[in-house]
Amino acid sequence: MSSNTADTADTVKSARGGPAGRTPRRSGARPGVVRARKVWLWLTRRPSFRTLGPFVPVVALWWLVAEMGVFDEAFFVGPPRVVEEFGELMEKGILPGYLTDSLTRLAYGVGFGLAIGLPMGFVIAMFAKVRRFFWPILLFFQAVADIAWLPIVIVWFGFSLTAVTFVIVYTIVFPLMLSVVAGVEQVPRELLRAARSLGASRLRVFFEVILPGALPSVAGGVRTGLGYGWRALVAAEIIVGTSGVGFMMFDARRVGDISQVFLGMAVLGVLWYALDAMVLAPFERATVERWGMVRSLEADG
Amino acid sequence: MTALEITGLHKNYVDSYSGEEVTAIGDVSFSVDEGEFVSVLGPSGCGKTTVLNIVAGFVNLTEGSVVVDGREVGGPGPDRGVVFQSHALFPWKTVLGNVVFGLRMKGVPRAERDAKGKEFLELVGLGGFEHKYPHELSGGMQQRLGVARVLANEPAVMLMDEPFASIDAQTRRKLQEDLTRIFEKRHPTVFFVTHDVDEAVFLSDRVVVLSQRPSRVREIVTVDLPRPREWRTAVELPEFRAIANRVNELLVDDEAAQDDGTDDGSGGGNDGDGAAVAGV
Repeated sequence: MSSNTADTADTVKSARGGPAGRTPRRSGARPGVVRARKVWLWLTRRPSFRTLGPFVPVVALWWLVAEMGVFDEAFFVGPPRVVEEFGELMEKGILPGYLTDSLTRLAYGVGFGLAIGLPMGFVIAMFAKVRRFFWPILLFFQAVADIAWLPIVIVWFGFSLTAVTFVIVYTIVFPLMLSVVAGVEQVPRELLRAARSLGASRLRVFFEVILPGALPSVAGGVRTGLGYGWRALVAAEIIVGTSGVGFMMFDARRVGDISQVFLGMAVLGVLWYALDAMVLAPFERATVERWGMVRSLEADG
Repeated sequence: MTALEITGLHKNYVDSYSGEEVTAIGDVSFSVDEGEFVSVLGPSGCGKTTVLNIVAGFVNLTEGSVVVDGREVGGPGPDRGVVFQSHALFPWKTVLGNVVFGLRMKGVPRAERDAKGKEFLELVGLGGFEHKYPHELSGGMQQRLGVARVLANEPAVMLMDEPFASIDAQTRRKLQEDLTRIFEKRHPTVFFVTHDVDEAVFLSDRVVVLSQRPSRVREIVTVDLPRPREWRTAVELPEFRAIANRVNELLVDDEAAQDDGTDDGSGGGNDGDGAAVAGV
């Protein structure tokens, strides 16, 4: 059993070196190697392994650095300490509470962000005159970083949910609008013409062709927008902070509890990864796949 | 009955790069009768697709008139369905969803339009593919769907813009035969743009040969080959070759004239093997 795992580790290494993750064929391979290769193939087909596998070396490296004592334990803690901290905060109900707060804020921000960004994006994309007017303004405000708004937002709304929501909405709206415009522009002209010559009115062309045609790009925009929003949320919580994961991390630093900072980072990463891998990426993939033909149309010119 | 009447069509546009005014179409007039298959053929860049785009209502004309079914053309409409070279199918709709699109726009009830959609899918040989998506079909099948989608809408004229140009040679022959079979069965009015002489002669009742830009009608060649037509027998008919040669000569003549810089199109003098050819 132990030799088997060692072999697997060996195969992992060689697979990483080899092109496209293939184990290079060795002449006269030992039975153990063959079995290890089979195990590896079986593993790489498991979705859970594909999801978690890449993190194994990362966690191992982290652990190694912590164990070797390169940094003082007050500044750098290992995985066991973080897991312990996780258990403790879960038990006390602090982490679930903070997580709920953070996710509620994100939900508000995303909800308003989509409600504003999508319609505005389509209005700007559809009407050339509106676009000509708004485009410079759009680029200007996109350039003003989201958290650059925090000072004034705190003055306006205080240390409140509104302040945090404002920043998230702001962060999401611009990439979303730009992706909607790009999505509408990439709908092949022939599709619009086909719909018109099959008797669709301009309004129906919008709902039947432009809206679904822009969907792959919009799905991408929602995904990036949410990613930005998630990051802005943490930044906002650090500054506006009264609760939430970002607040927890910053507060822990103040009291000198580094393990909570590490825990916060891990939680942020895991939550986002879960959201992205389970909801956003499959949605984007599904649209792009079925829409595959749109891409080939573009290629034809 | 005339389904499509083009009179004194003239098109200028301003080249967005040089800023010069270019005449794309000099003077084009011809008509297509109801139930007739007419091809428009010309050297590349002669503006044959522009003529189609004007008839479809995608592009505005500068002078002249285009009348379809007694009505002056203004903007695209369901009376002029278009089959595109790029197929232009809706990738997010199923095969059935694509074929009933026009009927849905007309407000035909679901049961009726689904039945009609299936009937036209059968006609083009796509029965059983109702629930597939376009990207699951081969190029040839996609174009069959493009044809079915237009025919199901029962337009006054079906406009086809080099529909088989992007399809491999073997499949193209099959599609041409199938299109002929469909035409012989249901007699839709077809306006077909192509640069392939054999294709034009095989499919058409008449071939409109355009000159180089600014395009004019060089000659309208009547193709009185017997129907039903099949490639296997058609290529062996001396008449087929004669007509194809005649059309080829018209095209080559025009290019030669263009090269000499004498664009005085006083053609029509050299109808060498003209038995089956009737210049109009």
